[in-house]
Amino acid sequence: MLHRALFGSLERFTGILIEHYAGKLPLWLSPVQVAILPINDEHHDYAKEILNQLEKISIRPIIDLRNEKINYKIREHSVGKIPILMICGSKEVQNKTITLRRLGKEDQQTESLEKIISSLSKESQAPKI
Amino acid sequence: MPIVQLPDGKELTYKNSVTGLEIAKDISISLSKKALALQVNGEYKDLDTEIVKDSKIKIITLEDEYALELLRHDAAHVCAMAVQELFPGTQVTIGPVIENGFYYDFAREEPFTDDDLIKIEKKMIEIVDRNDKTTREVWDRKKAINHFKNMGEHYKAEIIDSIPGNEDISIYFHGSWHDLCRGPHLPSIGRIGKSFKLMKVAGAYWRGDSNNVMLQRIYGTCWKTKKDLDEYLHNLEEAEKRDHRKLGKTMDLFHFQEESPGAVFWHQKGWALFQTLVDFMRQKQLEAGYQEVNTPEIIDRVLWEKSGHWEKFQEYMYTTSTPDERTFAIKPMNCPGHCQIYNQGLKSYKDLPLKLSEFGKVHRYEPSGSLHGLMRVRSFTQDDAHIFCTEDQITKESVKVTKLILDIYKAFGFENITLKYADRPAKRVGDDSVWDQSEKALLEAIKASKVDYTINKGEGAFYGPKIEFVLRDAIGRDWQCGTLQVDLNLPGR
Repeated sequence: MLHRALFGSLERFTGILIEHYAGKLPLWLSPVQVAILPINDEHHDYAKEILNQLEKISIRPIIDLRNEKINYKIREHSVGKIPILMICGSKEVQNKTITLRRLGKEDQQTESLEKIISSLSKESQAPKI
Repeated sequence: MPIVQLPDGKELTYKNSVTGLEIAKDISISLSKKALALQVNGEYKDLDTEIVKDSKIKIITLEDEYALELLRHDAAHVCAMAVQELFPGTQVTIGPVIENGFYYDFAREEPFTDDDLIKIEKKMIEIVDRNDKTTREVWDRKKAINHFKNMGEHYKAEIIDSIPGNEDISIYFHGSWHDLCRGPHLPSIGRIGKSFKLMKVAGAYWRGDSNNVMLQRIYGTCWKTKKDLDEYLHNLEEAEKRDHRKLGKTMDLFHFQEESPGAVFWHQKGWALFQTLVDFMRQKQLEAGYQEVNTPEIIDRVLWEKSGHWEKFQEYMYTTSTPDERTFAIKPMNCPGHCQIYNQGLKSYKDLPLKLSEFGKVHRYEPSGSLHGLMRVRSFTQDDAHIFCTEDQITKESVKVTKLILDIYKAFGFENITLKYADRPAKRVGDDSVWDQSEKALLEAIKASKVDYTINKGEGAFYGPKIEFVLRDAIGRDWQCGTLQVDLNLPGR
């Protein structure tokens, strides 16, 4: 008989993963993958639509509807090591776009909601072996 | 007329006894300048040891791995010298080499402060600069005990008293400072270099007994070069920044509580991460033909006695007492459970290989002092699987498992893997032919993987050889995670 284990202990392997990545886990592993950050309450409806679409493609999102400044929200969710932040303000609502920020990177990219959903759907998949 | 054989096979003949240093000089002047110690017939000794008989000799320099141990051992002495120069009246006890450095335990009323550590380190540099020559003397036991007692070094006296009768009482002098020590040591104290650092102070009981006095343990690290020291310190800093217990808090993943030591309270986010691992594994195992099962956590002691766990594992097992007066134990391993499933219904060779997997939660009563976050717990989930197969199938299955493990590690971002192969121990079950076959199977799996491996001779379990999979993380630390173990014993039981 052969006896095998890969991780050995799943709990310990989780710890190893956290330290290996210093908390910046790959997208497919991140407990929360996207934080949707509307700039103020005028943008809540659009933000909820984004949430809906993300959940449809099995993403693990959260939505931050608190009455806080956008920079505060960005900082808080970066400390929480969330890989993707989706910011939506009036421009985004008007053009049906999202401004995307990735953890650890200063720059932002603005893309159509449709395009982002499509590419995220692929990006968030577990690796094939 | 000793004949000295060097590592390259060359022989040097001497008319009279000769020291290691003289041999080094005869080989080359540059070697004699780099020489730190001597290896005589496999044993390490001081460089100025006299060789009287025919011997196999190796001159140890900084290029040898053993040099690091020498540096660290001498550094411990230098630390003790510095402490006693700065804080007279402090008694010395024991100062061994440990992983990445050394420590020395001191008996002193006043606690050492962080400022004191800085002063001691500075003094150590001064002592290194003095570069006192190191000499060794062998003393009479009674003389040694009285000598240290008169100096006020009662711990040293006690240690000498407990040295077995047939062992030499070896005393090393660095200048006027001296210590009881087996050695060997560097020719002079300056040779340790300056790539060391004192790390921290902690409490430690004399002789490890909590009924004894609490001593003060100064920890230090020591390396061959400043570059090595800096790299070590940098890695330590990095490790602290990414300590999973800290991140577990800031990322809201899990917590622990005193009411259940070594058992994880998974918060929603942490559990989502955990379940992603399980889902991924589950899918890959399904694709590889495994059947996932689930077995009881609480099983009668009778079964554990049959499997041998009761005898070997008892101190780690949680047991229950129930009104029906049976003794149950909470499983520390999943194996016996899987065998019960396998034994149900008649199996023919056509059913093999049969692969049963389980995400089984096991519980082991580890000592509380050893518990550490998620890394060392009392309750954990094993991604356990047993492959029931014929002797002919062992090779193919071993190759498959090895490939699966390496592919999955890669998927998680671990590319730097090494394998540790352990073969038959002296005490074992099963006849040699089965061991031959199993070892051959594992070695074939290793060769097919094309991954670096080391052989730990005789370190296999009594019931079979094994391969351990070690992955290296982003800051160069090694973690042994995967195992592929051949079990020649359990199905029979």
